[in-house]
Amino acid sequence: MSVKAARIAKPLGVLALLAGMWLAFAPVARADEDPPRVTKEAAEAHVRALADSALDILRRDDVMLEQREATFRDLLREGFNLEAIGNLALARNRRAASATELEEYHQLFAEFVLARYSMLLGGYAGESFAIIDAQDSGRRDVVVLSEINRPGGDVIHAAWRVRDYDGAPKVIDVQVENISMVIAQRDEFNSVIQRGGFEALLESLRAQMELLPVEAPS
Amino acid sequence: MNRERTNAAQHEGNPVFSVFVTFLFVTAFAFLMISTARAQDDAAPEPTFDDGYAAYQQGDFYQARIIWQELADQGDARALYNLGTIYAQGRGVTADMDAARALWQDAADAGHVRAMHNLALSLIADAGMHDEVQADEEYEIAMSWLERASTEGFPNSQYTLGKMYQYGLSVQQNDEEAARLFMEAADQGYANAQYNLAKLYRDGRGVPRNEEMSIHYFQLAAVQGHAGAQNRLATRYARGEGVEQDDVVALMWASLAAEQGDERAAENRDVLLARMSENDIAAAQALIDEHRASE
Repeated sequence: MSVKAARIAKPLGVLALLAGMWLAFAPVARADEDPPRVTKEAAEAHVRALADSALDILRRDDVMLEQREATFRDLLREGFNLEAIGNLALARNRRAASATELEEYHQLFAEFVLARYSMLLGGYAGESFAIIDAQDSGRRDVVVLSEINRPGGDVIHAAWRVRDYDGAPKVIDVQVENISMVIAQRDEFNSVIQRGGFEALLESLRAQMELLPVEAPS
Repeated sequence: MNRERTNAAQHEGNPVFSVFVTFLFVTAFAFLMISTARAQDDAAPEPTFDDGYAAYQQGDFYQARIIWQELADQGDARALYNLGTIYAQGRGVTADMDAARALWQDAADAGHVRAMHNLALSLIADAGMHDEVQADEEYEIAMSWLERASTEGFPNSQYTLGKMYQYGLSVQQNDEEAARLFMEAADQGYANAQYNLAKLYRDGRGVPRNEEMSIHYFQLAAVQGHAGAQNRLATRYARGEGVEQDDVVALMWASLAAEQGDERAAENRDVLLARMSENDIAAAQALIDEHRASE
């Protein structure tokens, strides 16, 4: 983004995010205070645009895998609300963290989830993506059901939970073969924090982010 | 001679003899074909480590795994390491950190420093999931591998070990040792180490406080794309701390960091944009373009 574009770009509603952070499956606000629900059309369009862009990136076999995935991560960064996902993954354990710890957590978590998803979904060429359905979920969300068809016959079923943030749809959870990213992380993070405190979680995330990739030929 | 011709003449009309001769001919021909095919198989090159890497780059993780598995079975340390990494990442297989660790262990035992590093980190990452006794054991093993890789001069491990000394994780907290390790890695161009060493010089921890050295190492890391270092430089230039005040350079660094998702840098960028002239903003954009061209 050029500096001019940044100058005129409206910043994301951080206050709106802080006021409207709900657990993925447990809405608690009164109906008359709920932010508007994302429409099915908007949610589908958002997921489809993400998928189309992703496949364009991942099919570039003239670009090194690591570069393809780095570009893919940039795409996910824009299309996902990583701060919301990070908060959902922490749940009540947010109270155990200081402001400084939370800041580092969000930085690490963003990189962690982007890396995990770029490895899970990326690296493949020749697959096709199809949206099967879109369903309302809770007071604010739409879940977009999709299939990713890989060459050779494998099919991955992915469900994308989309929520509206200041008029912009963002993905806040992905279920791959019925395993929710947020719930899986929440369970794991809770276990680590219960055993060793918030610093143990940060240490675990730091270590995972420092793992090296495959070695190239010399 | 007449007897031989008589014998031949006798066989020529014999159907059993004809079948037998045909059988011998077919058998000999088949044997020849099989031998030729085997010779061709023997001559076909075995897939190499590089072939596995090429498959990996194309996204054919299954093929990469097959090739590296065969090489790993022969004790190839690089193949053991890469195979472990595939399992750790869940590339074309269900992620299996236990399998990854086992493979990295074999590679580390063979002297592969990247395997030592990943093995150590995976143990550190895993320690949080276990009780205190097991976590302590995992940290101890991790430390021994990091120390070994650091001694071999591997900058990633030097940096990680430095962080452990800085935070007092599984070792006595020691800023001097952290600074020493960061410096070894920084001098090899490791950006994270440069950034952290810059902070130690800024704060006078483990090394004497030195503003010039702090900026020097922030600069080294920033040029390599380290967002944190870029934002620190942006702040220095915006405030004229340790450098001549320069909003144009500040905006360049803040913008580069913000593009990588650094929220503080984005805030700094917005503050700068609000107070700078259009000409200066354009000058900053030119610097950004120049930086990108040099990457």
